[in-house]
Amino acid sequence: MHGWTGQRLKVYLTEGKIVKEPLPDELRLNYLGGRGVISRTLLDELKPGVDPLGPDNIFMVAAGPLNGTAAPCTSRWTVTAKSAITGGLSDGNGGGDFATELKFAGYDQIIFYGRSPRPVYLWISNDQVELRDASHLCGKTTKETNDHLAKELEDTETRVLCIGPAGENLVRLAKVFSNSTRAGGKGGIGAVMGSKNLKAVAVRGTGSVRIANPTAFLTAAKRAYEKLTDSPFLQMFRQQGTMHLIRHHANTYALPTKNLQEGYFEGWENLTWEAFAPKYQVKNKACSACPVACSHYYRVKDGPYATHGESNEYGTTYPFGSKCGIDNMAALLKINTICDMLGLDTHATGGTVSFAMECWQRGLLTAKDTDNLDLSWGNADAVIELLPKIAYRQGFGGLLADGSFLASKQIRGSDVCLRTVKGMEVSALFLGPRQNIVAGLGYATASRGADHLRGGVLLNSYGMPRLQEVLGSREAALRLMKEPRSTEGKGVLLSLDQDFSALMDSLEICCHVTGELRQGLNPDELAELFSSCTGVDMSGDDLMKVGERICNVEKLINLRAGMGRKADTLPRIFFEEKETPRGATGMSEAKFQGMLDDFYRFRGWDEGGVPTREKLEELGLLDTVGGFKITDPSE
Amino acid sequence: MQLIEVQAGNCTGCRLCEMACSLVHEGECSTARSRIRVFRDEEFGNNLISVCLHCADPCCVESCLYGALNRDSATGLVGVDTRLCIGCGDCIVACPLSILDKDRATVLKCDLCGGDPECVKVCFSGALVLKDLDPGSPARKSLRDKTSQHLQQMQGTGKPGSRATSSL
Repeated sequence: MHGWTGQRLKVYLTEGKIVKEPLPDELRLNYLGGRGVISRTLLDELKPGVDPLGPDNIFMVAAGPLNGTAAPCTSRWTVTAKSAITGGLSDGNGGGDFATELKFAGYDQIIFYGRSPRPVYLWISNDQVELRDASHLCGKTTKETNDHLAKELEDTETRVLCIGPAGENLVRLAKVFSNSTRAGGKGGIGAVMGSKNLKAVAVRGTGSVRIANPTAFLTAAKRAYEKLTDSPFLQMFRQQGTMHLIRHHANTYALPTKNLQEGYFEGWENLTWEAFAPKYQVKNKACSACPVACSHYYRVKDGPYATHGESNEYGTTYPFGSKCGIDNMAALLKINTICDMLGLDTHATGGTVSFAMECWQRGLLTAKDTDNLDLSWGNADAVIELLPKIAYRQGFGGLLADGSFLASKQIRGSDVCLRTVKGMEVSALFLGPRQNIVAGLGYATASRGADHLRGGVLLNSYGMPRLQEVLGSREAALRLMKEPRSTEGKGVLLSLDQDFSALMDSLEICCHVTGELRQGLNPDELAELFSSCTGVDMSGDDLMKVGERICNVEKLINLRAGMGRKADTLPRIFFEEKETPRGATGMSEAKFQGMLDDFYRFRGWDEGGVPTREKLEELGLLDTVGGFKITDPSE
Repeated sequence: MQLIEVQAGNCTGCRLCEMACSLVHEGECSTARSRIRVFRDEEFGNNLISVCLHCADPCCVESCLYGALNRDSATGLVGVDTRLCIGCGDCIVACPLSILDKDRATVLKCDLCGGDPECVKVCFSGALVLKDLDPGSPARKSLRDKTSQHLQQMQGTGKPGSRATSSL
């Protein structure tokens, strides 16, 4: 088989031993790569009940069969571990070109077991792999780590996946970073990596990715570029990136504001791409193999917020912007740079800081508790002061370093300020009048906790071709999206959406270039790229089946961690239906539970959200049942 | 003659040019076997593009002791005869814009894909454009000098790691 390198590394950190072995065909054919392969590995190898930050947790990173090829936007890498936030599955993917380099070095997957007795980094140069001392890298920011390793290894093309000080200090808001600024690993994977005393993975590869049918592959790739560059959505996206969402959400009363208490932020115009570009944008930046290039380098030349960095996005602007009430773009850019350098997740950290700000608003926290920081909405300077305190666990920062869910246990009465699902901060959801309520269902059922990338949110068009098939017509399929507040058919919509999301993450293709409504790639087009690259003949439907299998595997991981139906829910604030001048917001809990039933039914899961025997048999997953008893732990 | 104009300022660093080049020339994707190389600057995006400019006075040809490099008088293109090339790398020292394939001991040179280069077709940022250009123009010379200098500086500080490991 082509596409895959066919090799993986098992790194036993406690013993300092490295084993190279073939990537089993069973994993390739049933789980493709990336998210699929490592989710299945986690189900197989993780012992139940282990401490996420203990030596028995497993940390993995993987690429997919299309990484390192000309297939568009296949730059993503996925990291997985047992979550330090939810206790269940945690994974995340990031861009840049780490995955590309990993493939050229000759590996699809790296599994880390145990805990190193001293700080180390894994050095990979083609066939040569070794664990090296990293004590000189301790305490270094993500950028310093990158620069230092490039110099030390005497190769500017070395690609580094690392954690910042936050991960080293086991801060549960920490992510894993490649190219200094591309982050992945919501749910505290940065802390898991830190708990293993693993500071970085530095990789350099000069090999190649073999292509089964080069001519057909290049033709398919070119057709895909053409579709993407012709798409009006992606033309806008190329210019603005995800920042276009600020305007859209402000206009539709869906901008998460002041810890999700409101859907409209007065200062939103200062947060838009139009406010950003003329003053601070340097140029566009692409991840590996991407014809879109949605990201931007930025620079704030002078003033109190002078900084420079990369990747100012919706996901870095709203968490500290509207959500914390800050309307100063320069300050937000500074905050983004600080988060990147310290290795903090902007979504979860923004969620935690805005939680603290709501506590302050309600008088649950005072200056006495916060080391004299004034946490009034919009106080950017306080946030800038607070971030390093979180990353280094100093004073009040130490309280927030484990995320809002654990912090709320120590702040009396603060659970009303919590906006978490399975303990994880709700990232970008406000159920505005035009927001499809399937998004709420998506957040509640996403396998890694409150999440916008697992289906149901801005992407609810992933499964369009199949959705049409299931519902009989394109009109019926489109109706599900055009009637945002109706519960009809939302279970089907979300199931297919989640399957497609799992498929995409397993091929490690970027979520922004897929989905029919965004004129992106559909499962059939992905199948064409996949088949001509690997030589394995699979149709779009076959690939969607793989997506479904992955979603079921992840559900099994979470069930084993004790997360059944009761965990598939939303913070109370979403169940408060309110009339606003812009229309109704929120949804009733009855509506939500009805949709959840519908979703479980379509999934082939029982009322407790447990996959039925028939479903597991259909997906070839019966072998996974032996290890543990399938019952809904919440019943 | 029709040549690739390089506007590195526009480059977003996606490296599709490398993927397409290696795919059409080698039937596989590999940045190390691409005739065109992009070196990314992560901090400000000042990316560097390295590809043979098919100079009117090619110093790589002059530097080759084995007569493996030649400028075709009909097409004006500088090419390599892989039967004669031993992969010594002298030409890369003279001008670092071509690629040395260490595994196969040969130098890799852009052949403009016979006049319709794939890298240009997959460049969506406007960094690579096919244009009528004079290969001997001062602008072209200055591009060569600047890129060479930049590359030599980079390669001076860096070559792939070579320490052996006993772990595997």
